Amino acid sequence: MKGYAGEILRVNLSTKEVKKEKLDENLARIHLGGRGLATRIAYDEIPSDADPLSPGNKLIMASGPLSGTRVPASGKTDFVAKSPLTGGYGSSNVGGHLAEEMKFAGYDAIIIEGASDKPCYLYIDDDKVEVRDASQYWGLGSITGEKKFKDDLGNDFQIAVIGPAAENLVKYSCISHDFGRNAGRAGMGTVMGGKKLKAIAMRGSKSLEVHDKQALDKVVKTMFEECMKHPELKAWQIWGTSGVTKWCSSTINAFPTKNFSMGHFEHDEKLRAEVMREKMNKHGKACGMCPMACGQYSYSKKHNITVEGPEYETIALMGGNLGITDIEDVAYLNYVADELGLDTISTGNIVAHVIEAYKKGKVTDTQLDGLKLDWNATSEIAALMDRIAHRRGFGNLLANGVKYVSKILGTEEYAMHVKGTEISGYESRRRGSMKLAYGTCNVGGHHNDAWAITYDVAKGDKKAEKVIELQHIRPGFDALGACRLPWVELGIKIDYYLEALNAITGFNFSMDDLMKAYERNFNLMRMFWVKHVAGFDRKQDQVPERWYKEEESKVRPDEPIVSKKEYNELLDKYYKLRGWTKKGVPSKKKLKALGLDFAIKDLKREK
Amino acid sequence: MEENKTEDKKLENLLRIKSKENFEELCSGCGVCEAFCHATHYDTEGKAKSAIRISDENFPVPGGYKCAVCNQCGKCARECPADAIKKVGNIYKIDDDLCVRCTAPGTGHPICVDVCPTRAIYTHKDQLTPIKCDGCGTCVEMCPKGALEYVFKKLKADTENIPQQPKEVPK
Repeated sequence: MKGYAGEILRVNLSTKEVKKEKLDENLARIHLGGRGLATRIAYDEIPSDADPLSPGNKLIMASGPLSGTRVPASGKTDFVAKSPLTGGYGSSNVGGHLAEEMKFAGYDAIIIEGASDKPCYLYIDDDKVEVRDASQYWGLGSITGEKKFKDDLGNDFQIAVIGPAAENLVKYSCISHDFGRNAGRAGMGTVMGGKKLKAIAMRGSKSLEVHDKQALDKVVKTMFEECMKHPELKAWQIWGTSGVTKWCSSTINAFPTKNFSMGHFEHDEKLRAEVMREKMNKHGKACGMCPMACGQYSYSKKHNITVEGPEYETIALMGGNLGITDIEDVAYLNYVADELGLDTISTGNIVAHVIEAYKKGKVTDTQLDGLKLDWNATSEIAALMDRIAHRRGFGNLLANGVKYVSKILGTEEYAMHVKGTEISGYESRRRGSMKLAYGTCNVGGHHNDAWAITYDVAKGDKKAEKVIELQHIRPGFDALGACRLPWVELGIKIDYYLEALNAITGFNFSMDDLMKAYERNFNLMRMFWVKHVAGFDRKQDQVPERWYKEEESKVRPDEPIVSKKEYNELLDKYYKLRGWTKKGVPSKKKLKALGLDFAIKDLKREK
Repeated sequence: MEENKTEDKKLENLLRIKSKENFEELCSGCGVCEAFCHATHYDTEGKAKSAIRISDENFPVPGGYKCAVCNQCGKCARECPADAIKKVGNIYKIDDDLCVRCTAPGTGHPICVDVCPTRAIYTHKDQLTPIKCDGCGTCVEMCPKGALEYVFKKLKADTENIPQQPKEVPK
C-alpha cells in the first residue's frame, strides 16, 4: 500500500506486549490517516464506560498519508484518546518531526493500551520496539527530560514526552516534543501520565514508496514555489503567529483580556511581534518540511531562559488574559508551562479565572497560602503554576480544569470553557460564526476545527455554512498529517493537497471523495461524544454566559453581541445543515450516508 | 580563498556547497534540504539517505541548528583503498561499481566515513555504497530560508564572465 508505512503498532503497557498489525487499507481510504484514522480506532476500541485515566482508555498516535513526504508542512502528528478534561472526545496535534520519524520507523499509528504499574517509556528503533523502565526520567521536566532521552539514546531519536503535570494527572497536561512544541489540548499528556508512560522515543531509517513519484515531484515543487513567492511568507518566517497579536487586539478586538472580560488589551503594544523579535528572537524553528517556519526560538535576558515561542495562543492566554505587560514575562511563563508540561491555553484561562475570583472574594487568602495573586503578577502566577503541576495546596483543585473549579467556587458565570475545555485565544461575544465554531468544536473550546473569526470580520452572512466548511477542511489537514497554515495564510489550494494525496497513495480521489472523508471523520468525532456521554445534546454546545454580556470596556459599539437566542437559532440551522437532530445528534440517515453504519448502535445512548 | 566575486557561477565550476556564515540565524530545522536530497537521488521519499544532515544537538540551550555537508576536501578519495572516489570537475563522487564497502579497523564503518573531517559521509543498511554529496544543488535551491550556498571556483581574469545564478541545476 503506497504512501503509508503499512503497519500499526499496538503496545499493551499492562502486559508489555508489543504487536504489529497490518494497516487496513479500507480504513485508510475512508478515514485517510492522522486524526481521522486515530478517531476511528478510538471509536472502535475505547469502551463507553472507560474512565479516561484507567487502563481501559487508549491513546492513539497517528501520522497521515502526507507525513514523511516532501509536501510542505507535512509534519503533524495527532493524538486521540478519551479526554480526562472533558470525559468526551479528546484530540490534539503537534508539529515537529515525530510524524515523519514514525513513518520512517515503519508505523502509521501507535495504539497505547493498558497501563504500566511503574514509570516506563516506549523505545522504537525501526523494527525494534520495547517497553523500557523510565524511573530515572520520572519527575523530569518536559524540556529537561527530552534532552536526557536524546543524550542517552542518540540525538537522532525523536521524543514525545510528558512533564510533572501529566505525571500528577493534571487534566490539561501536554505531550511535548522538539523542545517546546506541544500537543497541548484536551489532556492527551494526562492520558500518558495515567498509563505511567513518560515518553515515546523513536528513530526510523526506512524510506517511503509512493504511487507516482513524478506526479508528486511536480506538485510539491509547485506548492513550494507558491509558498516561496507569497508576499506574506517573510512575515511568517520572522514573526510566526506572534504577528497575529496586534491585529487581534487592536484591529478586531478579539484578544482575550483579563479572563475574557474584554477583547482589547490596552498594553498590547508591549506584546507585539516587533517587540518580541527585537527583544528575544534567536532564529526560526520549523516543523518538518515547512517553508513558513513560524516557530520562533527566543532567549529572554530578563529571565535567562530559552523557549520556543511564545506563540500567539500563549501571548493571548498567558499575556493579555493575565494582564501581563512585558513579552519577556510571557516568554517566562511559557517556559515554566513547557517545562512543567502544562497547556498554556488552559493554564492561562484557569489562572485568569482564579485571579478574577480572588478579586471578587470567591477565593480566599488562606487558599492562596501567601500568594499575592493579581493581574501582571508574573512570579506569583509562575508559583501558582508550580502548585498546579504538583497538585500542591490550592493547585490540587485547579488541576481539574476551569469547569470543575468554577462549580466548587460558585464562579460559573465567568468560567470560560466549552464542554470543559478552556477557550483558546479569540474573544467571540460579537462574532457569531466564531461562537458557533467554539460551541461545536469536537474537543470543546478550541479553534482548531474552525477558525471562523475572519468570516465574522468580513461580515459574512452564511455563518453556519462557513463553520461547517471549515470543520471539514481544517480537521481534514489533521487527517492528511499536514499543517493547515499554508492553506489558511498563503492560499495554497486544497487541489494541490488532493493531487499530492493521489500521487502518494494512488487513491485517485475526486474532491468530493476527499470532502466526504472529511465529513465522515467529523461526524465520527461527534459520535464519540454521543457514545461516551449519556444524554449528550445541544446543552454541551453552549458557550459561556460571559459571552452574552457586555465587556468591561466596550470598544466595538457598532457590532452587537450575538444573543443566546440568536446563537441557538444559528445552532438549529447548523444542525439542520449537518443532517443532525434538533438535539445535535447525527441522524441514522446521515450516518448511513457517510458509511458510518457501525455507529448507529450507539445512538441508543441518546436520552 | 574562493569568494563569490568574479567566479563563474556554473555548476562545472562548483567547488562545494556550504552553510552560510550566519547559518544558525537562518536555518529553522525544517529538513527540506534532507528530504529533497534523498528524493532527488532515490525513487522513494525519505531522509535516511540524504547527504546533507541537520542536527538539533544544540537544543534546548542555546539552540541553533547545525549542518553537516561535504566540503569536497578529497580526503576520502585519497584514503579510499579501492580508489572508488573520483574527482569529477571539482566534486568528489563515489563510483558505485568500484566501491568495495571496506571496513575501517575497530569502528565497523567504511574508511571514507571514518576519515571524513566533517563527518559528512553516511551509510545506510539498504545499500553497500556510502552516501556523499555530489554537488547537485537541490538543497541550495529548495532551502526556504536561503541558509545554504554554492562556492564557485574563482576565475583568473576573465571579465567576460558576468556573475549570475546557475541556470541549470540537475534535479
